[in-house]
Amino acid sequence: MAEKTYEIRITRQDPDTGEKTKSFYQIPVIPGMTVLEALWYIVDRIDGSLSFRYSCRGGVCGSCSMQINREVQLACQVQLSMLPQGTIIIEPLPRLSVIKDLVVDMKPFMNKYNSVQPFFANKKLPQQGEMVQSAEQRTDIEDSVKCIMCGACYVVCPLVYKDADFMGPAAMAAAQRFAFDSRNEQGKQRLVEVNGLGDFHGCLKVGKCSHVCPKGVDPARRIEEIREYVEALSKNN
Amino acid sequence: MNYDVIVVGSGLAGLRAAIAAIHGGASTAVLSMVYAVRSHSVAAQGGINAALGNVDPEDNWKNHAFDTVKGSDYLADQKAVCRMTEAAIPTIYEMEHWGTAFSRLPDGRIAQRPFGGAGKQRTCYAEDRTGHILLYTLFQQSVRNKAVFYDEWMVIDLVIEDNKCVGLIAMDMNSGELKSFGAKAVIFATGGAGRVYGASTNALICTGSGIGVAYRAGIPLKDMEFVQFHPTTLFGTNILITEGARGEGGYLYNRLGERFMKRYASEKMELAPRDIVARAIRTEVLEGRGFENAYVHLDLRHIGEEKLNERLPGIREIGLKFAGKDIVSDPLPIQPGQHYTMGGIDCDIDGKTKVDGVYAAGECACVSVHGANRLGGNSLLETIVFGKIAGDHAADYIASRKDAVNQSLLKNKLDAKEKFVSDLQSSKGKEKVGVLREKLRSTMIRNVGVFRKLDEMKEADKTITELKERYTKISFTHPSRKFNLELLTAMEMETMLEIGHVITEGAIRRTESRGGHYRVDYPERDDENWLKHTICTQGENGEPVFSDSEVDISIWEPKERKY
Ligand SMILES: Cc1cc2nc3c(=O)[nH]c(=O)nc-3n(C[C@H](O)[C@H](O)[C@H](O)COP(=O)(O)OP(=O)(O)OC[C@H]3O[C@@H](n4cnc5c(N)ncnc54)[C@H](O)[C@@H]3O)c2cc1C
Ligand code: SF4
Ligand code: FES
Repeated sequence: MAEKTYEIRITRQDPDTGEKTKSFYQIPVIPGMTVLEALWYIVDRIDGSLSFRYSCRGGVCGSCSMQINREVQLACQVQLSMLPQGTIIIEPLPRLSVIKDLVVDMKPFMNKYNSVQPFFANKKLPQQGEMVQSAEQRTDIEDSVKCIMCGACYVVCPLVYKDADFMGPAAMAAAQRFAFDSRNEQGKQRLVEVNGLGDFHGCLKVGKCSHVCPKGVDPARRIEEIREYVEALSKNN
Repeated sequence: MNYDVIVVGSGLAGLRAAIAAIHGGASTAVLSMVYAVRSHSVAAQGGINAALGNVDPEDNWKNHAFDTVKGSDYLADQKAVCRMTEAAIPTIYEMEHWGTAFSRLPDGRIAQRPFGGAGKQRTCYAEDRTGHILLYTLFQQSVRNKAVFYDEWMVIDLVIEDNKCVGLIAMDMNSGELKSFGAKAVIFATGGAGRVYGASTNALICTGSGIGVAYRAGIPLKDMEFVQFHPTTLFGTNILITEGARGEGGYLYNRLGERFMKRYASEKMELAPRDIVARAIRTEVLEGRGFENAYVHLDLRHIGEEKLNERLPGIREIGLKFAGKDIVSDPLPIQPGQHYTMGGIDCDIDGKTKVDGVYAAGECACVSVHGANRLGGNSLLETIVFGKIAGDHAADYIASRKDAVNQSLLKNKLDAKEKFVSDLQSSKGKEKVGVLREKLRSTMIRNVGVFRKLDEMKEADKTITELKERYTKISFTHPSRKFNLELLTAMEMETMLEIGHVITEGAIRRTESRGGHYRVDYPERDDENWLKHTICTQGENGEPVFSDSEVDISIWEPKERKY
């Protein structure tokens, strides 16, 4: 009896030799099965040598970003049944060095995020209670705080490709968040001092980052907000 | 490598402990299986409790403490609860001062929503992404404090000499190499063991491997039979649908269109504590009033699109992406699922375990502040409050401890673990670890779940013993150690079997019903015989050995728990 199956092709990379290969797997049709579940199915039942990252399986931790049919997506949010017929092609995130199979080196991305000094360090704090923030003020940071550091925007940004020092969309969205948070003492000042601003001018407004972002951070818009602010500032000077 | 303090785990408890230890002047490193922002804490949705009184000016931390004690079915230690609920208020303000983007009231103060088992409206939140927003705040503060991270390192052994902490052994998951770390203090902040069960809301990494490291090193576990089943998880994937959804006014309906909670908690209705709502749903399904014999409906439609978008945007996204249902126009199919590990590493009110220099905080610990049933919004609170306490105490402890750690002991332990891992990898049996894991999970959820029956639990106990035997015959596809998921799973599996065993035998032993532990054959709470904590240590042949310890009931006298 011929059972209905999905065929999955995975780009592999041997960590010792650096050799790249492609593995093909047949997965039975199970209703609702996500790509991440399919990868676990492979490890548990077919081939335990496959490597990938995972944690929450609910689209909130940013571990499982990879290329699925050439699109950067979270593997736990894509169901096999939603993909077009034919072999499903799974590859690691592009442009980052591969540690093994679908596991890539995220450090360059993480380090850039950390480099924007993404934290509060207020000196003056209320004696009692919270710092007040109106719902309206909060909307300035509402989208940038949604980032889950999945790196999708980073690997599709053409400028990151051209210039290895370019901060990339997620780090800039984080910079926007700390600059525009009404409660942050250093706020926009720090944007000017610490981040040098060069990168915001560098952005080519291609907008791929906003397109792939699974969380609606809209990094392109966040970068634009910084640019508008900086332009207004220089006009006033 | 040597540090004063090593924190194992980079969720909320671990990061808060690390920041405290750094502030206390200790050289500190954080080892974690995942990058900090991938920790399970990121998934918490509904909120964190603190009697700020922003919505309900009458509220105070004593009310919060009483609700917690009552919710725990009187198994929580009352002074510990008071410590937590009193510290809750400055803790929330500190997080806010560090930038946490809480949702706001019209006057700009932190918003608070109603939550199950709470007498007042005291759950602070950030939409339905509270864990995410808190975890990022602490991660950012760790960056500010220049914390040292070893990301994607799995801790596999704790080294102790003369009841004092010496350090630990860990595996670098990327290279597969083992390494020893000297540390006079180790803080476990390794989260829960939800994935010992099938149908769990927990992240896939919540296998309890940290709890297992402590247990194998001779540290007792406490109250492990108390497992929380969350009433509302998405049918199929068991992704959590926050209690906040009921807090915002959601209704539960059975197949006959009845708001059935009226039969189980006529006053609190949908906002009764979790154990009660979970049993109500299971009863509806068992008695034939569920849909497809498996689930009931959570209906949010009457709340309206605008408010749903404002308060529950993440739930709308989950419904759409994982069930193809839009909460604005469709009810969600929901069923109870494993959610929280009330028990854990036995520690005192300062996070100290029986071994000097070893601490525990967060979900992996059992202080106990949750007793037999945790209230929603109290766990995030526990992680931050007790993370800080453990970090403070660890820093004090290392300042007073003058001896050097025994490097040759570390080296011996490292060699022993090295041999253990290569033996494991060269074993030539026929069993697949993934298959054993599935068997354990399905057994636990079926036989040691919401309703517990003696014969079913005994069957589970037998299955676990068999699985332990089969585990000695596993084999691997691949000899490499680099990011080898099969090997990592096998190492986690050793612990999962131990924990499954402790839960099952503890549940068999406790002949009463209390909070999350419901015995069909003993449906009543039995304070005379069972108002006590279960303590479990590993016996010489690996078997669980049980004893009891006292519950602190020095403030409120136990009463029947009615909602
Ligand atoms: C879906 C969901 C929603 C929730 N919502 C709420 C809520 O609204 N309010 C509330 O109060 N509570 C909530 N909870 C509970 C709460 O989120 C958790 O109890 C809490 O986040 C646990 O935090 P933690 O720091 O103790 O552990 P975790 O965040 O689980 O972190 C554990 C850390 O330990 C590391 N680790 C584990 N084992 C090892 C090892 N062997 N070696 C190295 N590192 C290891 C992991 O990598 C991780 O970094 C929710 C839970 C779930 C499942
Ligand atoms: S901005 Fe979006 S795409 Fe970029 S890292 Fe954050 S969540 Fe991912
Ligand atoms: S596993 Fe967390 S986002 Fe996919």
